[in-house]
Amino acid sequence: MLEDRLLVRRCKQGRGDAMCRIYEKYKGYLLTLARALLGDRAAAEDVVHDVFVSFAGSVQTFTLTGSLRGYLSTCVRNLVRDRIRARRHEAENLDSAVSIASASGNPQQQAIETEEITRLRAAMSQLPYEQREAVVLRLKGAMKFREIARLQNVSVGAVQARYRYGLDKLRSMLNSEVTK
Amino acid sequence: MKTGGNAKKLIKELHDTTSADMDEWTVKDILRAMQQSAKRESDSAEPNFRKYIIESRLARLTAAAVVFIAFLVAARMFIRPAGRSAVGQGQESVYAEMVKIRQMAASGDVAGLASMLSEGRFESKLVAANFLAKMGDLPALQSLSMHAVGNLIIEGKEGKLVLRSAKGADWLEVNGCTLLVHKDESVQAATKIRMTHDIEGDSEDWQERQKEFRRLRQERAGLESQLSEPSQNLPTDIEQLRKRLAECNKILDHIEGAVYVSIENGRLKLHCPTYRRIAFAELRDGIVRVEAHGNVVEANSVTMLHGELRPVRTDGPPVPTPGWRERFNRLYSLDNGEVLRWVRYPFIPERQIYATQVLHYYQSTDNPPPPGYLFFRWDGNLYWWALAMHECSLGGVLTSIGLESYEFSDGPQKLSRLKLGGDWIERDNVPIEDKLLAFERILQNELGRTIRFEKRKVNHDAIIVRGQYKHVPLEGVEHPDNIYVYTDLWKHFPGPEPIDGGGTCSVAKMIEQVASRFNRAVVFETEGLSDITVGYFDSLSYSLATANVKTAEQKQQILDSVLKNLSSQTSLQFEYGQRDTNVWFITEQSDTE
Repeated sequence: MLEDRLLVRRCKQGRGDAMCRIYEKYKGYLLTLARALLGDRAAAEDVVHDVFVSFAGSVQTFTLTGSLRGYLSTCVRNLVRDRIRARRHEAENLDSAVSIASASGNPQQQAIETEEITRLRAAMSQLPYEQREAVVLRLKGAMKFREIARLQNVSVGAVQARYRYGLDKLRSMLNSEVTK
Repeated sequence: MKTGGNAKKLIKELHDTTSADMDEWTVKDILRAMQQSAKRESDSAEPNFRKYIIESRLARLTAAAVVFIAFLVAARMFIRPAGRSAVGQGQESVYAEMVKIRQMAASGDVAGLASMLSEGRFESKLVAANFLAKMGDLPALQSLSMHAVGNLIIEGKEGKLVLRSAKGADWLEVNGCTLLVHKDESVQAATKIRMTHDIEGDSEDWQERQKEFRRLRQERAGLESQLSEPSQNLPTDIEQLRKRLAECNKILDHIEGAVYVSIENGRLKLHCPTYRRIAFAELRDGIVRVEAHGNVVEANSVTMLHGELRPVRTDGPPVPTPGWRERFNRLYSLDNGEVLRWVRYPFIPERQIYATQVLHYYQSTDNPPPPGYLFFRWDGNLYWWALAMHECSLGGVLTSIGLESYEFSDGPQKLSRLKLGGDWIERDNVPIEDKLLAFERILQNELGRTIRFEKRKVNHDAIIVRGQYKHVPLEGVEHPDNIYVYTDLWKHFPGPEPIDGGGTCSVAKMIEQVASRFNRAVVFETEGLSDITVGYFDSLSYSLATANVKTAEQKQQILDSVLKNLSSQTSLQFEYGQRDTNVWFITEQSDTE
């Protein structure tokens, strides 16, 4: 197996195949992450595309200090946040990112997904962005609370609270829908 | 229905896949960005050079000379006759051409592939030629005229092995221990033949080079004549003449792409000194069997491509057909609730297409031998995880699904060596207990054998880790921010460099991997090592030593040395001890039990 470090080294030598391998390896995971944060598949595809293009453009000067997966996840999160900020001029605040997250995906895609997942996506789009980010990065991104706290520039306790509140809200929304 | 309680599980199960369109435009943009980045890097170095050049008179003169030479070289490169591919095109165009060629091959477009032989880049020509050869279209291959190379065709004729050039009318046949050369309607017996191919060229410098070749050939003929005729007065220094003849032969071998043909142990031996390639051919039950550097091809007719003597079948084997990936995916996937799948022999043809088209490094060879086994992980998508050229064993499956070597133990039946030929697919993020249960069921269903994995606590040799981690960089290495796993005791390449591999993981995982190579468990009497991520390199000394030491005493010495070096880089202390460890015992129950 080619390790990420070796792949990055090959990318630095200008090897396009190594970059393609990195793309193949992480595209699915990053798309899932971006979509869970944004709620919008098309916008998530744009984010993943931009992250990889930006990474490819800066790989010559890039030094891998931690895990490549973690690095790319952080890039996705930062870009998602930039996108949401850009739209905030149109909406009121970060929490109104809900508007982007509604009615996501095309009909075909929705048909493929299970009913449960569809309802989960709808419920997640109702969460305040900070809570959604904490939940997604923790559960899907497998990030530590400490790392999320550093990203969100808040204390670990605050992240844990956001995570707990977010998860509670999700549970309550999913349960309430079920009982309807 | 308690959906709310599953919120965590559902989020973990979220999975999106990219569309083919997205893949296409993203890869295209990535490659373009890489090119631009490389260009920026070279541009950004310019100011420093300029400053240096301006300050030094010698540098100014050197720079002027370099610019002048570069101008001449560039002029030579650009002033070329039409029809030859330009040198230095970007990777993007190579990628695009490769995609185009594969599409042509998939749709059976022989004319398109043949056109690539004259229009494509060098790499594209090779790939197109290989596809054409696989499709059995040799007439189209005749237009392939690159460098001093050609095609040698080996086939069986009336029970004898026959070798001929795709370009010439001459041919030779193997008659016992002799080669019979059929040339101009005459037959001549020989034990060693030097074969060359027609050299065709269309550039201006070609004529100049031809003159040089002629001069060399004349010189060689003169030297051979002097050395072979004893009547002539030989110069005193015969050795010098022989040396010069050997040099002439070497140069001509290179420029003519010479292949030496002889008989060795009853097989036809082809040796190309230019590429240092050797191939053996023989006729078995009317089938030609060619072996070249581990690559074995059996067919009615085999073509040895180019001077590199790469064998390819030329009697019409399957080429990629549309929809191969869907057929591959149907077999290489897991159903809902399925944890492990064994894809047994015989493999479907789509597997070889996958190996040559999807596994990137595997594309570098023309006709790669099929992988012995492939191991995949599945989380809704298929991820290639490991490849080996040998057949998979039971122990191999256990290590692939996540057990370290000290975590399972063999009984007297040596079941871990049981061959389980085929590929394996495991579901990601499943506990090891579930995987082993699924493995037991597969062995029962497929082989009818009741093999069990039973966890027991065993007092095991262990490495005890204590202290606080603090990285102390090694001095004088290329990457001081990484940890080097190495030994000073191995006779070849002692020390941290050169490296043989490496990766990024937690400190704990890195230590576990080292311990596993020495069949030791690890006990951490310190905390936080799982949270610290490090980059590490396995040095060649470490890889060679662990693969080659035979005695327990030697192994212990190597481990001492490796741990001492790790300790100096991590500030951790390592001690040996005995600890109770969970070990999976492999046992087999007979039918009567």
